[in-house]
Amino acid sequence: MSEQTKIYQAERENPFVSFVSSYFLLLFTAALAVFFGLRNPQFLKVRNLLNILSSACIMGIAGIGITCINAANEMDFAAGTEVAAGACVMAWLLSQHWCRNYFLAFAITIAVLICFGLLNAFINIRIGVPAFIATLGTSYVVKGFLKALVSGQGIFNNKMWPPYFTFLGQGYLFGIIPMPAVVLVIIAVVMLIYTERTRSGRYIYAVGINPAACKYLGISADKQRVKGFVICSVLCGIGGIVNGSMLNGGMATMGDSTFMLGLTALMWGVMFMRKGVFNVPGTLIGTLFIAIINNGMTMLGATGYAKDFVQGGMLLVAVCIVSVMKLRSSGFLRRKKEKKQ
Amino acid sequence: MSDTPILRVRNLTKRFPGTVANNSISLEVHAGEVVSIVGENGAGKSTFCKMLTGVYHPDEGEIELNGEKIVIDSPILSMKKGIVMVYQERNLVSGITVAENVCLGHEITKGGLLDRAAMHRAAEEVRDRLGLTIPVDAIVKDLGAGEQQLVEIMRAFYANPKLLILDEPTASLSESEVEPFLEFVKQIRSRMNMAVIFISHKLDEVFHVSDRIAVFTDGQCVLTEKTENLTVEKCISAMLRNHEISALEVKPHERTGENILEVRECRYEGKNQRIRVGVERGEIVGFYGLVGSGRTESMECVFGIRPCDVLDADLDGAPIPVKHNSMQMLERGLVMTPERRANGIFKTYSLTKNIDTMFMRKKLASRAGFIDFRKCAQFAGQVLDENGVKYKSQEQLITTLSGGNMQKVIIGRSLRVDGVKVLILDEPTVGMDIGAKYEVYQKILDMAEGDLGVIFISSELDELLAICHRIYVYADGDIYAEFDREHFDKEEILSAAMRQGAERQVSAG
Repeated sequence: MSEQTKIYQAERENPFVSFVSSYFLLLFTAALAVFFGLRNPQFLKVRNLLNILSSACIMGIAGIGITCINAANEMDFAAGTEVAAGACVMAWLLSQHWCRNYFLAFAITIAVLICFGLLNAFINIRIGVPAFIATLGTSYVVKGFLKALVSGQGIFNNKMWPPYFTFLGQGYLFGIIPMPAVVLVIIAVVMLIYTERTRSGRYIYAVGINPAACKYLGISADKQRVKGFVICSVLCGIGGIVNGSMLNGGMATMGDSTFMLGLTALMWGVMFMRKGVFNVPGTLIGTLFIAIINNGMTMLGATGYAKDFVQGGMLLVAVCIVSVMKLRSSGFLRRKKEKKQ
Repeated sequence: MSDTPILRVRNLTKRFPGTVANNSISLEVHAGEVVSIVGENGAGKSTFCKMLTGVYHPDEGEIELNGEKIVIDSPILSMKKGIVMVYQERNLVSGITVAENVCLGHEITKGGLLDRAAMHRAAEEVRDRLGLTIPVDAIVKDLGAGEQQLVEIMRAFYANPKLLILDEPTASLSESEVEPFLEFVKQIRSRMNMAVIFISHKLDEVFHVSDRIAVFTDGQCVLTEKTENLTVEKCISAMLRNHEISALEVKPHERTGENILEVRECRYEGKNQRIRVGVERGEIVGFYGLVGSGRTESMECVFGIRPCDVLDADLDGAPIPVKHNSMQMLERGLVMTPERRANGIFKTYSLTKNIDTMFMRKKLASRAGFIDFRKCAQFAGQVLDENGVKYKSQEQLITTLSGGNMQKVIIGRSLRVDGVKVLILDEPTVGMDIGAKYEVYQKILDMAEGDLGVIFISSELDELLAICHRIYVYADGDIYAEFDREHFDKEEILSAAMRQGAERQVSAG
């Protein structure tokens, strides 16, 4: 105990180290933007920055959802299928005669997603199946349904769809701001307020940090996990609706890559601010980071695999820098050197 | 036997940023001698041992082993030189045999393959040398805690140590296992002419086992004396020379017969426990029993965090339903603090957040659920100051506090629950040093004076005897006996907990 206290004290003694290790992801992202801007002035143009935001939309929204369930210390492997469900259910509903109203279709889609989340929660919490098996199972079952719904390959450019079907994904607000960017900003703000400033959000984090302590404070861990599953499902689904609108179609497989991207953003985010805890601000910055790399590298004319190299390499380098700084400030390296002498 | 001590330490000093953990410590340990080191948490005991075992390196001073000056720069070297430490936490691999554990890290091989027969023989040899009877082919997890501790020592002896350091070896043993273990330590010391350093919080054990006692206070060795020349009081006053402890004053409690919390029946896990508990306002009721005797489990049922089959209980005259949860009980003024401090805190949260998370429901958040951060900070500051928590900033992580201060946060916030009537404290002082314990005792006495009913669950009988008005003894899930303060009798309570005493009438209220 006392030893641990000392390490913390040492860390506090150097505010620079603690600042950099808390915010390095943000600093890194900013530095990266400046770098790309210097290499190609087009990069920092407003239109391009908005494009970056727009391309981060689906990954960001799904990422926030995945963060909510991970913050409650559970996981949801059905997130990819939830994205597909949002797109497919919406596409299918609007191709039916009885449901030509966009808002009705939207409401039904959200209701379906809530049920999906509740199903995951039920199998995990009530029946007691570990979350990753439960959600993996439901994800395949639901994917099967979705394939049946969109008859295999998917629905594209259906004549029944209202013309504004593509508005959320391809439209512009005031003729300049891409709609996905608007959706991302709205959802990010709402979820930031929810997770950081409300009781309900605080409880989700609290259960993730220590479910045992929550019992003694009268907070039901199960309830928070149900909330996490539902929020994850709904947000991933909204991401899917935007995605479907972007591609002007709906496919059962469209969420697969989004899930991995969302997870990556989540992991990046763990290193932001509250180290070691999944958190929404971190995920958002992680999302931006990935989007900036993709956009900037494309502008510089890099090939696809170069992006992977850069993204992975930067992750490793950044984490190494932070670890070394921490070790230095706790005096560990110094002691090692002493030993050698 | 020569006069050269096995271990001689001179002016050993170790500094950490901001503190001097060990300040010029000198100590000698001779062959065939058990030297106990006692002191509060943070007094420098573990730093001292870590320097002997090569985990830390002294800034100043020297260490002599068998009259020869040595520099210990790694744990492996210290083991080679014959200094072996048995740590407080169990370090056994539970799924394999005793013999395999004893040889772990020093496996005997034949042609690159494990030579089980040779390892078996080697383990048996160590066992016989120590005069033990544990079967070496038993699987470790099938052994009791006491036997596992002995396996740990067998492992230490496999390296043929000259100096054995035991760090709180009895912490994980049950009452009945402690005595034989201490006898064993005394025996190996004289039979094998060993030097033993014994570290413990429990002074009665220390007096029982050691030839000499060294008292550490604030990184200094303030007293080294033969055991027969020392008394417990002298030890405590040396340990606490920097603390002022007011004597605990237990105000007598006049029983009114009106229980604020009354449990007439409580059954769980499909069994047929006999539990009758009554607590009055202003009364401190102790629950004594071994871990798993039902003292914690029954109260978890009442508090609503463990499902129960039958529950017949009243809080302030109104019944508690069988199906209820802790949120409802908190609203009705029943609070419980967890057995392990780790279960009461959010590690990655600041002090403020650790306090205000409990009060989101009404006080510190708006109807719509938005948190009022200004109120939170103010409220948390009050709780911290009221309870004398030592902290630098409200925003520091709770894990940077000492155990005692952490417990003050946990108890302090519990006391601020609206309309709190009964407080259940489950092992609130476990692992704390004496100064911090006394502060908790004083806090409990203050609560009773403030007309709260307090249930104090503990494995340490002495602390219950010191401050409780009444003690219930749990054994095997039942309440087995009840004692009033006038009839406190240590022997009788102990034997009741072991279910040896005569059947006593259990009455509540």
